[in-house]
Amino acid sequence: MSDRWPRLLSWLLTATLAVLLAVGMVGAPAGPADRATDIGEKIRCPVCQGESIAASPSQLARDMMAMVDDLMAQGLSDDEIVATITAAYPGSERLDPPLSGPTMWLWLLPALALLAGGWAISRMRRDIAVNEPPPPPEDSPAPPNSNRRVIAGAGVLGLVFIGVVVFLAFNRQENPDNGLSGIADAPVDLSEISNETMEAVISANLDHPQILSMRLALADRYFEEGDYQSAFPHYEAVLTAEPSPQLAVRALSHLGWIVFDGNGEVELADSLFDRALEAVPDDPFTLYLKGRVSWCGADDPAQAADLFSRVLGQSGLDPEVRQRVTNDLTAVQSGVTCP
Amino acid sequence: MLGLLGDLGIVAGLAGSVWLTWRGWRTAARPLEEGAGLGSPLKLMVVGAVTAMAALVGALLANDFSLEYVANHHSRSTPFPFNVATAWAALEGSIVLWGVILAGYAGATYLAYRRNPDRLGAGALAVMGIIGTFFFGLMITVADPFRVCIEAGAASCLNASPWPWVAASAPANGPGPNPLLQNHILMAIHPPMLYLGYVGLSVPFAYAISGLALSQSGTGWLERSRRSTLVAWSFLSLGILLGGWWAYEVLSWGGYWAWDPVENASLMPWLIATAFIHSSLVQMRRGSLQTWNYVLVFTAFALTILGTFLTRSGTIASVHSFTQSAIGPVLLGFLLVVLLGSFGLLALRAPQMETSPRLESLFSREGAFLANNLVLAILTFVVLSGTLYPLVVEAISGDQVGVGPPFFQRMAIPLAFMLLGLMAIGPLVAWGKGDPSQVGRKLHRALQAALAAAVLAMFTISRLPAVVGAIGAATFVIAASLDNLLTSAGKAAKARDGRATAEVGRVLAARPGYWAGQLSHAGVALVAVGIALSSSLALHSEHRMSPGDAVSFAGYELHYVSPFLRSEPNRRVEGATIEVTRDGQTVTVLEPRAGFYGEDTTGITTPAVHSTLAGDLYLTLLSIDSIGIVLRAETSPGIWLIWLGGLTVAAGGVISLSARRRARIGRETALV
Amino acid sequence: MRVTRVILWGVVAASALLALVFVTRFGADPTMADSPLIGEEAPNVTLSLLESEGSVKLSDLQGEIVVVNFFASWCLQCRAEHEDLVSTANAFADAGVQFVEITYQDSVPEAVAFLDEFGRSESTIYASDRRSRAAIAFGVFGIPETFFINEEGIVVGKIIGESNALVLGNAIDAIKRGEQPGQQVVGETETAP
Repeated sequence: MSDRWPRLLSWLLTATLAVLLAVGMVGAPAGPADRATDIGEKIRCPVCQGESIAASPSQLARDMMAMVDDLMAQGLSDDEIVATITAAYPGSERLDPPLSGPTMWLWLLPALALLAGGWAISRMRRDIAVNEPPPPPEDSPAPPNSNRRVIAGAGVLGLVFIGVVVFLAFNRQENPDNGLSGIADAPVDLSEISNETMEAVISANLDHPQILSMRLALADRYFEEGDYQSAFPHYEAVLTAEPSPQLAVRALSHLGWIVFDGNGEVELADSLFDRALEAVPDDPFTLYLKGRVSWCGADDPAQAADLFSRVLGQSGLDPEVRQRVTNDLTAVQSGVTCP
Repeated sequence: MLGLLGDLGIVAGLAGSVWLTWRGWRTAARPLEEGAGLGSPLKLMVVGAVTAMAALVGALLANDFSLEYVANHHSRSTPFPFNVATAWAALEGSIVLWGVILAGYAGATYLAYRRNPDRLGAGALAVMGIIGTFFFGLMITVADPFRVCIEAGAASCLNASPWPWVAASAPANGPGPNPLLQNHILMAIHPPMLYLGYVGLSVPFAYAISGLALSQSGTGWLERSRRSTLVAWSFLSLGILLGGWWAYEVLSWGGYWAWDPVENASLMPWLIATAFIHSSLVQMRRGSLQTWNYVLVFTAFALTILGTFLTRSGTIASVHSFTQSAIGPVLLGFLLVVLLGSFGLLALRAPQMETSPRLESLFSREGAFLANNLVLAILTFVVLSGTLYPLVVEAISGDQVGVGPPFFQRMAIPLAFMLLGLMAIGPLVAWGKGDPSQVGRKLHRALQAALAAAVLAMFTISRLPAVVGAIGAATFVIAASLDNLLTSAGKAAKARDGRATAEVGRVLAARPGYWAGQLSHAGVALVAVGIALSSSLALHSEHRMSPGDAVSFAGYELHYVSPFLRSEPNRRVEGATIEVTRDGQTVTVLEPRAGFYGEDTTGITTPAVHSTLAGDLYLTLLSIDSIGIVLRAETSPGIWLIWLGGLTVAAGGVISLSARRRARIGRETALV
Repeated sequence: MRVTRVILWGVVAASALLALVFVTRFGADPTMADSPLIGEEAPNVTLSLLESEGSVKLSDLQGEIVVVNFFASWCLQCRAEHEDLVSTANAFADAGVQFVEITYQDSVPEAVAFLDEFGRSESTIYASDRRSRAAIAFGVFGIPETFFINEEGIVVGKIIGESNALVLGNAIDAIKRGEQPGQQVVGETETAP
């Protein structure tokens, strides 16, 4: 009887405190008022490793936080702000996985596991009601074959380990290797490449020892298009770079034709052809061009015929070329003026 | 010379491990050879491991840049103790540290075995031999710390050879360790602590495997490994705490925990080990939960390997990632073997050792432990799935998803409150079948205290639910325990007619393990309050200032006096001198700064912290140039509660260890 | 208990599967993930000109192929690729291609000094990026990164790392053919000074 009052008083105190707490917490803010930090914690800092932009002192993270402030001032919702800032980044930059799409299970699985665990524990209680447990076996002797099984298992595991390591060692993805440091390292299919690209590559690699072949290819392309003006500087550049005889002869012969065909300078053309033939005697292309110039410019059909026959005297000519030179030779021999 | 010595050490360690595995297995399989010849292989393993570590430290101290490891991770200007800590600051060295600690634990296991030589202990040593074989094998192949530099660069080694006898080509100096790692003394201590925790978990693992392989069910393996489990758990607690502390002092974002994959990797084994410490008690007291205990101990060990793997494979981007190396696939293979081997063995043996779970009532101590295990397991699952989910989604659908702090926090907070509730109630419930009304009576005063604390917090600190809730729940935990202690002491005093204060010591001494556990619980409660306060009530702002400027922040006046520039042997320090005043009184002068190490131009910002009981003032230098500085000012209220709480948690573990020692020496084993 | 065994073997199988997942990730780098911008309309950013008053809106350049490059004076790869950017911009100046180079976390004087040292293209627009707005809008992880926008204003390509004239020109040629060059990783990037 005597300790009933203190007990009642004690409960009264508990109830009072509980009510006080409940009343006091009505309308309390749910979380810290710092909305910007909340939003910032949902965005991974792209230049850091595993830090949010709210936490990182890096410049980009701080710029992103400034953007958060701006977007907040514009009245966007939290989700909109996160979406705006991370729009151009892969989904991995969003640190707050949504309860939908591929991350739904991330939220649901722990909840399901909690339920399953609770269910399992409650069943442990029921089990005992059904059957009284046997005492726990202490050091029950091993079945005779048990060691063998363990050894076999260990052996299998050893093999698994070796297998995995060997497999991985040979299947490691290497980081993509930049094989493009110099244009000459990788064989390049020039047919796919535009004139502009070739120009760009050439002017960026002026000193590259192997740039000359690309220069010549580009110059030849201009030459074929009849754009002598663009071709000229490239042939000239090839010549000033002390090229190999094979490259020199191509540049000299084309240049010779350009000065003749473009400017009508027969003598200059002829001297260029002669220099070309010094580099590679009997170069069929040069001989042919020289012949054309003799025929059309110098008005010397005899020399032209002589040069054309020297071309035809060579073996291994392209049949089409052979046909063309033969036609020209016939024409020049029959006294036809140059077309 | 030192390289050769180190190589010899590794080979000795490997040989010792293989030998130990063989002898241990033979002894376990043929009890007749009992006790024969386990000491020599063990000594070889320990000597080998220590030699390797000594050679590595020696090479660092002697500036022996002919070794690739030294050439790439050390520099002449690295001061003590960071030059020693460099021995475990990079990948290969950290594996050596792992080996040394493993050898140490194996030695301790052997000492226990010598006192009580039986098949279980021999088998456990064999398992530790296997683990040792793996790690020494790593050191001799993909993670060789003693590779000889054969092509020296300007300040690094470009090419190295594994053969110790090749002609070395040593660079004149090296780049030094990662700047982040030579910035604070904690970084020298944190990894060894963490490793002492990680590797310690291999002891219960080894006993468990041994018991299963030998078909010895029962609680032998639990009792034999409990000391090691507690040691490992205490170190792991300390390691995690120091990691958070280091992050707070060095990483300059005012936080201590970022749910980074590697931080998660250290948290998960701790959670599972905590669950194991509780559930193993259930098996030792009541014989139930056998399979579950195996599952826990296997998971804990596998998670330590997973953590090592995540840190070192570069699979997950993280602050802590070591550079990518060939060690990733090997660790993955080992992880797979550990998982398949242990769980496979358990599945094979399950029919032989199954005992029906015995639970008289859900409202009992074991019921509370079960609930605590469930919550801890779910929490681990949350951390694990959050860490690995992006990988899995990308592998399955190619989608990029991110999981970060918002997810972990939202999941962990309710689970943490459940744990706090269980911590208050569980220890008061009796084994077998608890009496709810009796427990209710016991808890009534604690409940009043909790409510009172919550109301007080509401009026004086903040009305935020997280703060009020954490303070209430933490008070509940601590008050329930204190009330229990005082009531017991009071009863004892009445019975013996003594003074209650004198009886407190006696009550504590009667069940030291139990009260050590209570101390750890109180530590967790403090940590919870610290987390709630520091994360909910922190203020922060950014200020662009020129010399002479002053701003007011959180009641302080921050006055930018001048910039400064200092040259130190291993770094150049740029910073700002900030005079902090409060109500016109100078409180302190802080120097937030950035350190530039070697050739590095990025700079490592180091915050300056002024700690008070109410909270820390935390200043970070975001940028400094000729015009002025950008200063970030933050407050971290109550953050010291986290450090104090963490230390208290670890202290509980240590005290329970010494308690167990006394109990073992004394007449009986006092189970908690 | 059979349930227990089933669960245990389930754990074994699940861990094996998880290991497989890891295998696919060796060497993968999250910053190399495909940019979601590709195939989408280019972000319409307004940039201040680096060396003169005034600004340029990216959408005003529509109708031409626009090459957007992010660079900084502190970035070594940017130095290495700068000459190629200049030559490519020059080569394509009359071919309906507009180059826009945007500074990333760099001060105006330092960026100007960088151009003084490594050259400019007459046809390129050099712009500064206040508070990294453009970089964020383009989802920049590190620099150099180069984006390609076709005549209709759709982002059709991205080059991560140090590009060169051939890579740039190939991408532009592909766009001119009506193809989508997509994302290409040619080297490392730098994230901060």
